[in-house]
This record gives sequence, structure tokens and C-alpha cells, in this order.
Amino acid sequence: MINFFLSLKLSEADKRLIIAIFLIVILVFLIFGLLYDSVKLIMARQGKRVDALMNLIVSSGLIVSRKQFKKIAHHKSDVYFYKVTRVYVIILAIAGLLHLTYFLLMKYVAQMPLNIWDTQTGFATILPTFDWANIEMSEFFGVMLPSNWPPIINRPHFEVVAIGSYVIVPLYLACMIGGFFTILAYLARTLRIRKLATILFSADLSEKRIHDLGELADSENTEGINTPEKVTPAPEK
Amino acid sequence: MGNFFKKIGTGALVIILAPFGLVAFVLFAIYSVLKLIFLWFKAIGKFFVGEKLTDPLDIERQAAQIFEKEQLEKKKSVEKTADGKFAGATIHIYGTPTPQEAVTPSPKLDVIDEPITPKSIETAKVKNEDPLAVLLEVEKDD
Repeated sequence: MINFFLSLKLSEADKRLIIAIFLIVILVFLIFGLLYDSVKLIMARQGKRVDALMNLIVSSGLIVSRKQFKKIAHHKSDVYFYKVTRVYVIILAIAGLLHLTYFLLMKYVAQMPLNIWDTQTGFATILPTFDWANIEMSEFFGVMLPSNWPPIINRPHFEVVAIGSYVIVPLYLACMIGGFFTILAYLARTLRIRKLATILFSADLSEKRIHDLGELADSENTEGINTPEKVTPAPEK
Repeated sequence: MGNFFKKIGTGALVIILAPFGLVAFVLFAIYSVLKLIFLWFKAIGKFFVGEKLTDPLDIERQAAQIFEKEQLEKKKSVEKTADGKFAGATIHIYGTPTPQEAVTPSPKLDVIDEPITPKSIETAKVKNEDPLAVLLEVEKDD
């Protein structure tokens, strides 16, 4: 195996290519590392909601077992999830209703095909669309790589027939993004409940000593056992 | 620099474990949707009984009562301390008017702009005193 690597003869171009690939890989790793950190931070913040929801109950001292804590915390988290998701479900229902009305109008009144995402009657009319399939390629250190921006198929423009798409698509997108973050928050809370259940009912006895008499010497004997009485000296005459 | 390499290592691990994480997240998303449907039905059921899903639990009510009680006790103890705060302190009661004094107007005093002479004192006396009493006194003197 080692002989195989030693027998390899790399040209200057190959060496450059290897360095370029290595740098790209490092960059990709770094991006994913930063992405992981941000997701972790967001989830930690979202998980803190459990602390706020359970603060009063835990502070009052009514929670006596881990099972009870988990049950109540999960219930509170579920109700909070329901409360937040309810908003998105209502938006989704409105968007669906609008979509249906728009579809019926386009089909039976305007008699035009409807696709809310395309570049003819859809939301993509106001977005630049690139022709990625026909992108200009060049040989770069022996590898075919994109060498220019792809040609533009659609330049952003306003279409009257696509006006319904401009309303419906943002509503769908808001529901998708909001739904994703709500589920992520629900997951974060579930994980936080598990963590809190462990922390709240854990005890550290490593500093405790059963036969430690050190504290006894300092403690005040209030029982009166074997305690010599304090005699006040008689006043001098 | 160490942090930089740590980030890169984390990134590599994330890429390796991403498919598993993605599968786990999708499964959890399916569970969430099912849970939401279940909660929706539960809320509908509670609605017909006259309750709400978002209503506080019994344990929450108990906790709130305990909290309220504690707050009340705290408030009471603070009031007690405020009552006994000036015990033993010297209070200048003549410096500030008592509430009764503040309400009743002080007797109006006549201001004499003239220089004080035995005669003026006599006049002032006459001015202030009851004329009938003065007359009786004069008669007595006579």
C-alpha cells in the first residue's frame, strides 16, 4: 500500500487540484460545523421554554417524583406546541382555501393552466430563473467545472394572472418555515425535559460522610445533657 | 486555532451523522403531526364538555395558591417591619403639624406695624380683647 503511494508521480496540475479539493472539503466541514453550532444554540434557547413553563410548579415543591415531572412537563410542552401550531394550521387552511378558489377561477373563468410555482402564472415570475442545465463549463486542472453564471431563463417581472400566486406562495412558505421551527422547538423541549428530569432528581453524596464528627464539635448542645451550668461570680464586697 | 480545528471536526462528524439525524428528525416530525391531530381531537372533545385544552392543571392551581400565599405573607412581614421601623427613635412632634392641626386653621394674630411702646401694648390689648370684658375691668379699676 505504501509502495503504491510512493510510486505515484503527480504533476504540478495534479498537486494543485488536490490542494484545491482539500480546501473545498475544509470549507464544507467548517460550514457544517457552524451550521451545527447555530442549530444547537437555537434548540438550547427553544428548550428553555420548559424551564419557564415548569418554574412555578417546581418552585412550589409539589413535584415529588421524576415520573410526575416528566408527565406534567410533557403535557405543558404538548399544549404549548398545540397553541403555536394552531396559528400555522389556520394560515395553512386560509392558503388552501385561497388556492382552491384561485384554481377554480383560473380553470373555469380565465381558462388557463395554473401552477403557482412556475415562471408563467406562478410565483417564479418575480424571481430570476437560471438555466442550470446549459451552464458554461471549462476544464479546470483536468476536471470540468462551471466557469460562468448560467444563462437567465426568466427575468423578474410582474404578471397580473399570477397575482394569486404572489399571495398564496408566501403563505405556504411561512407555514413551512414556521412548521419546521415549531417541530424543532418541540424536539428541543422534549430533549430538555429529559435532561431536567435527570438534573432535578440527582443528588451528589460525594462530599457527605456518615461518621463525620467534625460538625458535632461546633454544634451547640441545646439538649442540656452533660452541660456544665454557667455560674455567675458573686459580687465583691 | 484549536477552536477552528474543533469546528472542522464537528463539521466532518455532522456530515457523517447527517443522514441518521435527518431520519430521526423526519420520524419526530411525523410523530409531532400525529400528536397534533390527537391534541386537536382532544381539544374538540374538551370544547363540548365546556373545558379548554389550554386550561391550567390542578397542580398548577395549587402551585399558584401556594405562590399567592407566600407573596401575601411576604407582604405582611414587610408591613410589620415598616411599622416598627421608627420604634425608639426621637420624633420631633412639634416640628411637624399633627393631622388635626393641619386641618384646623391656626388663630389669626394681629400684626402691629407700630413701634412697641407701653401705650401701643395697651392699645393692642384693647384691640384683641373682648370690649365688654375690658369695660368691666376698667370699671373695677375705677
